[in-house]
Amino acid sequence: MFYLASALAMPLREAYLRLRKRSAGGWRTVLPQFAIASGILGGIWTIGWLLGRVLAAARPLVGVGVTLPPIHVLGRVSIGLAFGTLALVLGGVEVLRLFVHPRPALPRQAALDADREPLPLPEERAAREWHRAALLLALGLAVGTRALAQSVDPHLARADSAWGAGDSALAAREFAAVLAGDPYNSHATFRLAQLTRDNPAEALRLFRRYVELEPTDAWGYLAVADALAKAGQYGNAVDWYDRALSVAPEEPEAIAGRSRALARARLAAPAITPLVGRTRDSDGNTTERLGASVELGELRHLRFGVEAARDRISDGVTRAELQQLALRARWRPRPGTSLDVAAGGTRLDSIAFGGSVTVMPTGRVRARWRSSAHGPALDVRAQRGVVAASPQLVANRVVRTELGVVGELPFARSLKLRGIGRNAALRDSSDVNHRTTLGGIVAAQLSPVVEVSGGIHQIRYAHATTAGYFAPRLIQIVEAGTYLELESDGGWLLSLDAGAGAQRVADQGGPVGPWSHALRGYALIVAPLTAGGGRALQLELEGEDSAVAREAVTAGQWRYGSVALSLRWAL
Amino acid sequence: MRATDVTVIVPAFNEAASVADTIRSLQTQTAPPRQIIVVDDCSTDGTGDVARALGVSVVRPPENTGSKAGAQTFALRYVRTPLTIAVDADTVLAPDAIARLLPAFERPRVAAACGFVVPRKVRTLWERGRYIEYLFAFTYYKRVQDYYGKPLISSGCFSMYRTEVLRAQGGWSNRTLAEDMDLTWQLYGAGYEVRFIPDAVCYPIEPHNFRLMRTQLRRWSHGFVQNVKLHWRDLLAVPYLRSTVAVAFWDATIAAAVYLVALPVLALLLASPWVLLGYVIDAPAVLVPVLAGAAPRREIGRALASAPAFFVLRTVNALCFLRAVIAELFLGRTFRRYEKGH
Repeated sequence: MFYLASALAMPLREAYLRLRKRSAGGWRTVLPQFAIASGILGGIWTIGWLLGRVLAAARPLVGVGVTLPPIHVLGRVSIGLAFGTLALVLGGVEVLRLFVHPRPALPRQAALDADREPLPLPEERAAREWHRAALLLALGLAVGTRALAQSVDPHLARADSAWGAGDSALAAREFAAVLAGDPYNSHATFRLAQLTRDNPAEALRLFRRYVELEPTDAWGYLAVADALAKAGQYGNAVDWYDRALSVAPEEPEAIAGRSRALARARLAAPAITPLVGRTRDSDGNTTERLGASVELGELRHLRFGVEAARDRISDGVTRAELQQLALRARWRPRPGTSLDVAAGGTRLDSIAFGGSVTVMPTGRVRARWRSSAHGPALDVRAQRGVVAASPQLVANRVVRTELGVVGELPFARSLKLRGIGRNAALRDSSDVNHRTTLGGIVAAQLSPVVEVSGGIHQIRYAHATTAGYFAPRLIQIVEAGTYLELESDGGWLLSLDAGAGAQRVADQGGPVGPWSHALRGYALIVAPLTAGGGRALQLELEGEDSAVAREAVTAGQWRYGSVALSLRWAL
Repeated sequence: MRATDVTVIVPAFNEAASVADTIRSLQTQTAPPRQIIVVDDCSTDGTGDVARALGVSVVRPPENTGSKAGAQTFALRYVRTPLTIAVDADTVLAPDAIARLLPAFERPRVAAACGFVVPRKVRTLWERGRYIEYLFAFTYYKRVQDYYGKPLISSGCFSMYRTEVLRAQGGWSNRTLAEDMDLTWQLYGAGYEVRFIPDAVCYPIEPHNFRLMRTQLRRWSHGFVQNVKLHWRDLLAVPYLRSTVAVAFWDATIAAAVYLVALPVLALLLASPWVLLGYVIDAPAVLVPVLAGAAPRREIGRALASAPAFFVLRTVNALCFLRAVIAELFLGRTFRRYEKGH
């Protein structure tokens, strides 16, 4: 009832306030609440009317008229009670207000009042005035130099005001004006540094200057550290985070920033990674890999490296050998955006098929972009590489040139839609075939480290081939998958990507066959050898059990297992 | 005010299951806060690890603070921004929730602002009852209160505060079980304004069974009575608020007694079950605002299906409030133990 009255009174109040050139909320606030209150009144009236009709109809039917309540009396009693109690409550509060007053002052103020001295006599007052004047004079002298700086105060006020209003350009100008008049103004120094985003070197200089001016403020050290980390100088950044922590040992931003910088420093350090691996499939093909990669230190978000590997492929009878060498570069201009490029050559040597040697240019380009941690993402890649699952494929010089796009779109909280499109040209010594892959995946992020997904894929080959890989007309795969990544404080990492589903195949010119199982799994285990993971053993395990795998393989019934061990040694 | 002026405090005790959603919703705000501080209040379920993995600042008091108020106040020392947001660890925000609250602070006297609350899950009887309760309160009561400049409470699950004012008040106090109400009324007493911004929406997880609902209602009802006891003198000086509190107190006492005792007794005395219609006679008063709130959300069906649950919840609510009033005011048994309601 109280809120009903309040809502019904809103238009009157608003009109009254507008007459006095004021407004409490505007008509857009008032009218909906007035409509709701009117609706409530209408609803209550309708219910009462319906009840009356029902009771009137029930009285002769059930013959219990004497037990039915007299509706008009009850209604009036209800309304009387409602208004009466409301009036009683509100009136009671107003009456109470006349007799009870709020606590006169806050405890601190009350204490000050209690300590107040009695009024002084005239001669005492005169003496106190002299003392006060002397004190003011002393204070004036003490802050004399400070007073000179007060001439820049209008700039400072305007700068702070512009900063508060988000007008960066004006704020920067005004803070610069403050510093021109008072080079020791630490507040202006810090703010100007924050505003100098387009000139990291100048921002860094100003933050360092702020530290000189305010050596006890941890936020100065923190700002320098952040600026250094942003510039990719992770080692220096860690030093400055340490300085911030020496001033404020529990400062969470410094702790977090230091961890981030340390991790980036270790990842950005030069490293050498030897690798040994072995794969085997159900057709008896084995591949033994020996390789290594060298990464130079990251500089201005750019990193170069070299990778080399030698693969020995055998089917138990014949064998072939591949030697790969590539220069690679990685550019990460900002978090979420990266460009990876590798270019080099692959030397093919098929010992059982005449021992011919060929060198082919191979390489890959991959561009990734993600708007935010949970925003849309795009992954575009192009690659040219040798298909080397068996000695026969190597002998036939099967080379895959592929362009692929993966787009990811979040469409609800924790849900993402992924679309996959790839087109590959498979060129051998006598023919060119084409493979087209389309897929759609719905993925749900169950927790920061666990994702589950369901998806469908469809692969088509243009025609059959005798080059040594299986090329049916159509492959359809339905799969449920999961991905999880667990990391311990000590740097241990377990990454697991597994899928289970069904797939069916249509041979060239034939009907679509029955569904059969399709299983796949991939695991990466990283075991740190030193604190922070600068040196770590990495074990990769991969397996697939399916009628047709998604990459070019040798036969229609195929299983595959792979293990690779590498040692990342940061220098 | 800008988002970079905002720090979010997320108090969390054993909230590993829900805190990640909360953090992600904060990180994906259209106006992302400058810093997110999760207070791992000595959890034993890895809450801190989950939060840390998402890249936010995690602070851990040396021992469990014993209440949400304690955890929030512990984190206040780390705040370096002019504005502070408190968000429960089981609450996610609509993407633009923070951006919607910010303009409220352009008025210098505004010390706190809160948003519209909608239960994240609406499945069980209790969640449905709460869904209707919130739709009703935030569509009708709260907007009227805001028009008169005195929202009764700046909701604890999602509110933004002016940091310097918050510090001046000593942060959140644990002298009552409803720290958000305590702080709101304290701010009014100090002459500040509080605003309700209906476009800033948050989605907490509400109690899904009777045991949890009873625990939460017990805390809320005792907290309300404790706050009335604590602030009643000061509230008398605050126009409109004194009336809303008086009406709320009347609801918690006389109306609850009528609801629980008078109606059944009257039905027995008159030997007429028709009197029991009194339990639903005000259904239009509930349904009209609820449907008005549900329509723009396209949840008319859900609201209609959930409406009966509201009357069950209201009965339990009345029982809890009546017990709290009797215990706190007449028996002198102050309830102090802070229990989680989910």
